[in-house]
Amino acid sequence: MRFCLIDQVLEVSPDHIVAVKNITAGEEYLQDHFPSFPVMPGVLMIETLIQAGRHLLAQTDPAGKRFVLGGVRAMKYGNFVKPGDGLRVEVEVVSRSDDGSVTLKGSGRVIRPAGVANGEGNGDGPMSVAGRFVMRPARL
Amino acid sequence: MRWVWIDRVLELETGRRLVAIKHVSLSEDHIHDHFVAEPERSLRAMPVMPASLIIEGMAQSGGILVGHANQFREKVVLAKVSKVELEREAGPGHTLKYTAEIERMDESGASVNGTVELIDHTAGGKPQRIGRIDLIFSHIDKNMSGMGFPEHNFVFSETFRTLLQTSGIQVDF
Repeated sequence: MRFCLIDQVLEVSPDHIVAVKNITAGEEYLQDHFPSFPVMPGVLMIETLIQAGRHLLAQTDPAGKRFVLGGVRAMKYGNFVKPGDGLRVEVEVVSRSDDGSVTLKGSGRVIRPAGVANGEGNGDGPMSVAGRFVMRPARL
Repeated sequence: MRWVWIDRVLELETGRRLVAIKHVSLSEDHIHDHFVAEPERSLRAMPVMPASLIIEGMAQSGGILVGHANQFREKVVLAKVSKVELEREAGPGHTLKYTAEIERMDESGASVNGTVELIDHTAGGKPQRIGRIDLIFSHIDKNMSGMGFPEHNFVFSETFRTLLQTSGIQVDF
C-alpha cells in the first residue's frame, strides 16, 4: 500500500486541522487485521493523527523540517472503524518547545456509511481514538 | 502491505517476557512514502520506519505474549497506548529489537512495558536503546461485549501461527 493515511483536509489553520481517512475494503492490511473481522488498526489511527499533525506543522514551518512522532501520552481507543466508515480526525497544537518539538492533542471519530450517504460527517460520530502526542524533527 | 510487524520471536517466557526482531528494508513499500523527496522544500527522500508501525511491532510482541499466557483463549486487543518515547529513527539495514514485559495481568486484560532497541551493523551491531512503548491490552469478551465482533478468536489467526512456527514456537490455536 501507499503510506498515505489522509484523503481530505476539511479545515486547516495555524494551530488546528480537520482531516478524513476513508477506510476501504481494498486495503491489503485488512486481510490480516483481521481475516474474519476487518477493522482499522489502532496504530494507523495514530498515523492518521501524525500525518494530519505533519500537514498542520508544515503550515508554519514551510522551510523544511521533517516531523516524526517522538512520543505518545495516554492514547485511548474506542469504537472500531470498519470498511465503509471514515475516520474524521482533529488535531490541535497544545505547546511548542525550544528544542523544536511540538505537543499536540488529537482525536478521531467514526463517520458511518449512512452519514456519508446523507452528506453528514460533521464530527458527531462515536469516538475511536483520543490522546496527546509529541512531534519532533527527525533524527537519523 | 501485509499486517505483520515482527519477523521472528527470539525469546518467550510464558506470562513474563517476549523478545522479537523486525528488520527494516528498502524492499518494503511503505518506507518509500515515508519520506518522499520534496524538492520545493529542499528535502531529499528519507526512508525511515514510521513510528506508528514501531508501536505496532511492540503491540504484536505484547499481544502474542499476553495471548500465549492464556493459551490464546482470549481475544487480545490494544486498548490504550499509555506512553511512547522514541529518540531516533530506524532506516534500511537496521534491525529493531522489541522486548515486551507483562507488568500486570488479570481477567480484563494486561499492561505491558516495552523497550525498543536499534541494531545497526555499520555501527558495531550492539543493540542501542532508542525508546519505550507501554501498552494496555483488553480481553474484549470481558469489556466490549455488544460491540459487534465475532464469537471466534479472530485476533490469533494464520499470520501469527506462521510467525510463531517459523520462530520455532509450538502453538495450538
